[in-house]
Amino acid sequence: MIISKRNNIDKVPYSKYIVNSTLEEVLKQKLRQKMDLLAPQFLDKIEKDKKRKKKLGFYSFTKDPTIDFDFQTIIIDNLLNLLEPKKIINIQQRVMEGKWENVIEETKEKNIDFIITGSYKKEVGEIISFNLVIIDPLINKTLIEAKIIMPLTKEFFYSLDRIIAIIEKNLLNYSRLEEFNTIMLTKKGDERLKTRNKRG
Amino acid sequence: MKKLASILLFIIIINITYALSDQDLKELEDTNQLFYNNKYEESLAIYTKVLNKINESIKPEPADLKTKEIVTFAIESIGLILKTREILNKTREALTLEEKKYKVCY
Repeated sequence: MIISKRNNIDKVPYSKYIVNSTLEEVLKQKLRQKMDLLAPQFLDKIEKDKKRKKKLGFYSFTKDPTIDFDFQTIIIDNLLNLLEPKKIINIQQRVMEGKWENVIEETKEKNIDFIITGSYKKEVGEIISFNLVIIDPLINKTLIEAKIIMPLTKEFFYSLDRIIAIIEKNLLNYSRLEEFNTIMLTKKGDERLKTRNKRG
Repeated sequence: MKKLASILLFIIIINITYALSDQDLKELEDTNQLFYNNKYEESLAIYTKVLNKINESIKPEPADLKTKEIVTFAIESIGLILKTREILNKTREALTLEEKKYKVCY
């Protein structure tokens, strides 16, 4: 515990399997699965899927009524401005609402590849906590998770722009047929925007 | 002479754009068998060789990059397995010593 705290380790990967003494079997199984993906036909399928024009939808943000700013509109407008002229992605502008389960069903019917949603609330003083999540609804996987905790200054919006650029860069070449590590983006106060990949 | 040099250069480039040959892929399959049969040290040496070959390639193909991902996973897995074994052995040693100490003291 002392060593992990000293080295800022908050998670030990595969700890469950180490404790159960199944680590070796789990890793062998994973390697077998990865080898299956190496088949030439499968690689060709992935390349085609990457080039497919994807569809993006929005699910209503959880809002804090004490904040006047409409982050949902800002995000939608920014993405529309950035991606629409490039004609590389179809954006469904109507924001989906209601139960998450129903939204998932709707996205499957409409072949939507990505859902963007999030939340924001006021913290202590002028500090705002803003979360943005991008999910692949078909496999129910979080692809990008961004968090900004700071006052609503210019730097806040610069960070938001950087996050949107990261979203564009990573999702345009996405295929759910291959492994994708969740991208975690965090910006707290004056710290720089941190990027971390989360396996699984 | 100039023409011959450019042809030779073209042949060399063609040969180095593909990092892994069919023979290499067959070797990789055999190495996986070693890994599945718990022969970690032996497989680690070959995985490292394959990884170096991909890293040295000028223009790796998508299949090479996928193989690189798999080989990296295998190397990391072996590292984790060997370290876990080492820690388990050390824990066992510590427990045996603790047991001996207990017997001597009580």
